[in-house]
Amino acid sequence: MKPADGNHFTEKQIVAALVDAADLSTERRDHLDHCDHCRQALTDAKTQLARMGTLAKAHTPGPMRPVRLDAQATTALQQRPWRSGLAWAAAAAALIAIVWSGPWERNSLRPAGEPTIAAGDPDLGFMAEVARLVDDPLPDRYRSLVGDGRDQFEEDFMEFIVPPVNGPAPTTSRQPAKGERPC
Amino acid sequence: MDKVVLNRYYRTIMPSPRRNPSPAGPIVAGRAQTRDLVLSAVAGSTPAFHQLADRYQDAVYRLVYHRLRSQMDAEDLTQDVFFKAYRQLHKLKHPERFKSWLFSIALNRIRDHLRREKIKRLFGLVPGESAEPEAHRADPAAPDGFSQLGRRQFWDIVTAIVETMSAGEREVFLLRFIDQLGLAEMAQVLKKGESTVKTQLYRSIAKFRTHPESDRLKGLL
Repeated sequence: MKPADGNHFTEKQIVAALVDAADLSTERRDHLDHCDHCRQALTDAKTQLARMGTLAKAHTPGPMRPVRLDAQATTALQQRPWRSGLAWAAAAAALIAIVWSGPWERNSLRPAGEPTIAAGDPDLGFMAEVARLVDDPLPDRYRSLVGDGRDQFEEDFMEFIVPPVNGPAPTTSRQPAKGERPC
Repeated sequence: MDKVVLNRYYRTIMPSPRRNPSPAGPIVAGRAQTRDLVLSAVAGSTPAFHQLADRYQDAVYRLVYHRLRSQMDAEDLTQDVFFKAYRQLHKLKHPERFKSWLFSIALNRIRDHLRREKIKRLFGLVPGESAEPEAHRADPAAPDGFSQLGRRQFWDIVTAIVETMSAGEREVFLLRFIDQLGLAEMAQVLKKGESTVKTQLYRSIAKFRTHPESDRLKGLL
């Protein structure tokens, strides 16, 4: 049968027809219906691609064993909702612990007895901090390290380092040397 | 499986008259449709899942083999695909699309496998790409040497042709003409629009038809 128009399918139109013939324009589809040449070209191309699929199937060895789920796999899956619930609970607990540990850690690092800065009035809190530092620049924790506030200890310590001239001799347990006679 | 999860699942997929199906009983082999088998498998029926596996194992196996050309890897990956499908089955919203969903899992699994192989090759743990693919080696199951030669030639030509395509073009070409999927199914498997799939398919066919090896392929067909 002879088509109404003499324009045969171009290579691009054959490829488009191979993708989806429904996407061709009405005019082109009419041409395809009436043109033996174009229809043959399209059929050949389709056959080649279809045969390739058939051959691929023929050149593929079959699977050796059927797919079977073992009892362990199915049991593990049935236990999963319970397990996942537990996992979620553990994760939530860990998250809460991390969130709460932040402020706790900050508070624990502050030296004992140190007044907390008033959260409501930053100016008042700041001034109180300045006044405290003017009176006593070292916090209690560090004062104890340098011996501040422990007078008795300091006196004993100084006597040990520098013994008094007329005072009693420092108590030492020196052993007499060889040949020396004790008094 | 958790009853609450199952009920929620059924509410989303089942038509209103059958909202609470009874637990899966014995499945009549021939009459059972994929959808019913999927629903039964979701309800915890292992035999139903095994029937699904019997129905689609060959297709999944071929899909894997066409891309890896190794019988052993195809066996292992097919098992993996079905096991993963079993674990994720409750997430499948359209049970009638089980096959496309299964193919999506398979393609992802193949990509993972190839990525791992690439890393192993990088560290010299496996032979390089120059090593002979399993499809080229002697197969005791093949009937004769002529068949083996034909297989080797065929896959050589297909490989040479698809290597000129981009990854996307190659995937649609293999799905359409080697795995013989329809356009709608391909779009579902690749999670792409049908127009995107058509564009890539157009380019891949154009490359196939202009490739010199495609004439050699005609001789084999």
